[in-house]
Amino acid sequence: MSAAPVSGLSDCTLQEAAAESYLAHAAALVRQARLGAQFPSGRAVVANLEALSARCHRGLYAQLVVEPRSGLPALKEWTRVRTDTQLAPQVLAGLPPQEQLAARAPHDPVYGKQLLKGLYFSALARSPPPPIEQLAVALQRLAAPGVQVQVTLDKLDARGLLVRCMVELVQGPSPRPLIERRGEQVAAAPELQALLYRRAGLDAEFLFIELAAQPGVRVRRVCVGTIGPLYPPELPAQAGLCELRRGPGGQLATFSIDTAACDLAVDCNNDPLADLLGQHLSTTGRAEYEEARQRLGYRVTKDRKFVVDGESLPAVTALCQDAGTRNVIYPLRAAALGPDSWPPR
Amino acid sequence: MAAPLRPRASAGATESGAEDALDHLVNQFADPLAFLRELVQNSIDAGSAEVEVRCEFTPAAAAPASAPSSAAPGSPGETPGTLIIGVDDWGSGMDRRIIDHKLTRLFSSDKEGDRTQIGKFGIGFVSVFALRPDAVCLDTGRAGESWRVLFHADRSFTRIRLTEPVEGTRIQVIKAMTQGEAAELTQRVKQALRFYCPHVRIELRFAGEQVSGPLSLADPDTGEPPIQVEEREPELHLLVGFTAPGQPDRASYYNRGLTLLEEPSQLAGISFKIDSPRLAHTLSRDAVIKDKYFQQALARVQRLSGGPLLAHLTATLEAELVAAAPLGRLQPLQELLATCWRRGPLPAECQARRCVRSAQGVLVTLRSCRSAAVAQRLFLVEQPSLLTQQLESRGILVLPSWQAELASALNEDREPPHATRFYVLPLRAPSDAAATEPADELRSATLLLLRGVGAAVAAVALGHLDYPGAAAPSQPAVAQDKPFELSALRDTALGATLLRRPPRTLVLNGDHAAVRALLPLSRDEPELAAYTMAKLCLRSAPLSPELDGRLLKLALEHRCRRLSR
Repeated sequence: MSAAPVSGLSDCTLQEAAAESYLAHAAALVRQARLGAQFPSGRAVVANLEALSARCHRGLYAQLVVEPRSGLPALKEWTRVRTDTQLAPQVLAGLPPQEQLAARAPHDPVYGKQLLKGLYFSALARSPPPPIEQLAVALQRLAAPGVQVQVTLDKLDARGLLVRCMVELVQGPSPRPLIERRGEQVAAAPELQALLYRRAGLDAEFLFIELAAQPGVRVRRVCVGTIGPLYPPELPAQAGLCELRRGPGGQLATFSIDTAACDLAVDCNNDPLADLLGQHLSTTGRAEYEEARQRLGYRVTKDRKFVVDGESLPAVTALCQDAGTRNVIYPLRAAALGPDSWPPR
Repeated sequence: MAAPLRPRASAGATESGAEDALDHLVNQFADPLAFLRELVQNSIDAGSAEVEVRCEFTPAAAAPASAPSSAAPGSPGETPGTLIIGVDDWGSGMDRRIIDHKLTRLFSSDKEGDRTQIGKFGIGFVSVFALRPDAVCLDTGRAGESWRVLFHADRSFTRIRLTEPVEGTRIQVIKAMTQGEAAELTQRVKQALRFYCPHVRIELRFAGEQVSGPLSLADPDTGEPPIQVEEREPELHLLVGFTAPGQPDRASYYNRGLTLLEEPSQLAGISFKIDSPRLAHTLSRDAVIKDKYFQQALARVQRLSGGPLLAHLTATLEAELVAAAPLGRLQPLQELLATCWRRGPLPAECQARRCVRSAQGVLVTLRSCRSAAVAQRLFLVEQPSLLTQQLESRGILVLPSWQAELASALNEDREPPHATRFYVLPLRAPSDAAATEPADELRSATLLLLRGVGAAVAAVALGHLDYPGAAAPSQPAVAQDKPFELSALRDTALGATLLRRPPRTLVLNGDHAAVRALLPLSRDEPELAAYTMAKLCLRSAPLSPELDGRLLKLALEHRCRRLSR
């Protein structure tokens, strides 16, 4: 499928040119998806991919490890960007001035390497890539005696996918509230943080029910937006969605939204790759489940969009037609394909 | 409230009260293009990370040759056609329920009171009708459900299910006009986006060009950022800076980068921008709600302008002085500081900043400079010289005159005097023997002559008074208690004071044209040269005929005596 050197599915390591090509393709796929607030910030993801590129690190890192199932850089790579960004001021303070390094570099490779290091960390310090993992709590309404908040958690889940879990809930009186409030300042209690970190990658409906079971909590909405999997051409072929890629430059990416909310009129599954939670329940389980739905007053929608190259487009279209879903499919623009066009547009 | 935006089938069934309300709401927008702000706001609330706005003019199909036309023949500006203003977002879009219960109804927004949303009243969309469009076409979709809602000129609408999935919401405002009108409106659309949405955090593009940017007080003409301070909190972003020269003082209020209001700033010389989701405009969109939060934000602006902004200015000026920045950078900063000083007392930490550079290059704090002014020991000079060196070594602060503005401000708005009008420092003449021989003749002859008429002269010396930065270069001589030391100019007067005690040393100005002419004369006719020199020194005595006669008589006697030897 790909000419890029890949050392195996469990450890997909891309070297130099292949890594660069992969990063450009991945960034183009993310950018083309026109991700809104329900997803992890596309801008932040692209900025991190750019920081992983040799254009930024100037060859200091020889290879890039990609999580083959998600098609996204592995956890260690995201962590590397984060750590380097945090360390940048400290590293720069310990380096000689760049002019000095530039003057000595042609004569001594040690200085050459220090110069590259200086340039890399300067770039990170100048425009630090936003973190891809973060937790934010925003006050929506003060609804005495409770408080309505929007909790947003961005994280890399166990599958290596980038997930945004957005929860709107009302925290009423409770001996152990999930939302800590001081005046108009709100924060997530450790229990809520733990629960979200554990469950963010799971089904939105499941999380909705679990949150609603917490004392004093009324859940209004749970929305999980997921970036990936991505299948740029540099990734090896694998079973499943990846098989829809056509041709040597075939690539595709999917972006899903899973919502359980009280303001939805009907249940709707527009995701050709996922089922609603209720469809997997036994007869007895279903009764309890229906009762919970009635009581909690929510409905569920699932949706998924695709970004796909022209050759692979018919296969993806057919997938959606077969599933009876009507999905947004963005064809990948030719201009976005080249690895030489950072930032990819 | 009832839904005055009604399905076409029920056109005419709406109550007139609802129609009136809609008319009122539509007409409240003084600028018909304010709808762009409302739509961008809706897009942000819908979670879109980008909004694309474009204008497309399509000429009408060629009219039959016989059709009458009011257009000037051949005038491209009068080509009839249709302008479409498109506003696309990729937000959460709408399903049928939202279209029926929110979009086409007024005051049905569930955003009200939600601090994570900008919109409040559920009236933003109707603003598209302020432009009096011929039609508005809205395509939207959510979770596989896609709709086209076509609003007609009478604001009735038709809802059509689309077969193709749509992400987000695409709005086309359609209006018939000529090509010239379309070109003009297109320009206004771009300007309106820049005015209403200058700092939105999403990517806002007009015809592919990014029109929004970060909160900034940069000079609109030069793009130069002013001296400014910033304060950031989760729900508040403040920028307070000095207004760029030639620009009006502006106070601007934003909610998530959308303009709520721009008005003249009440703080003289200060412009500021406040961006906060807690700021809101009134229903009529012509004012910001001046609630407790607004007042708190304004108080912070005042605090910033009265403290941290001044501290930043003085720190910047000090850093620029330390770095020996060119005058082009230093002077505007000092002038700004002078303006601030005149407005009121500066905080102590600002006064402790070294914002002034003496003629000898010493950096001086504002406080020291002010003390020197109070003690009348602050002077200006055109350039550094031995004179300024001497003055500064005696604790007199001398500033190069490019700092006159700040020096005046520190001196109760009076320009400090120029040091050369108050102090004089003659330099010794070179000790070269050949050069001094005629000088010795002139000195001794002048001394003899002046003493002969009773002048209190201890000695006569030759010096220089005309050098760069010197005082009194046009004087033929000065009288000093201690020759070649710094003297107050008033103590060096010639004329009648020469005739009074105590005796002083007369320092002849070797650079003066008359002295230069007398030096060679003194080689052969020292008495004549001395007579002329003495007259120059005593001319403001006033030189009476009697004294002149005595001088002449004495000079002639000396001459006869010399010739007879």
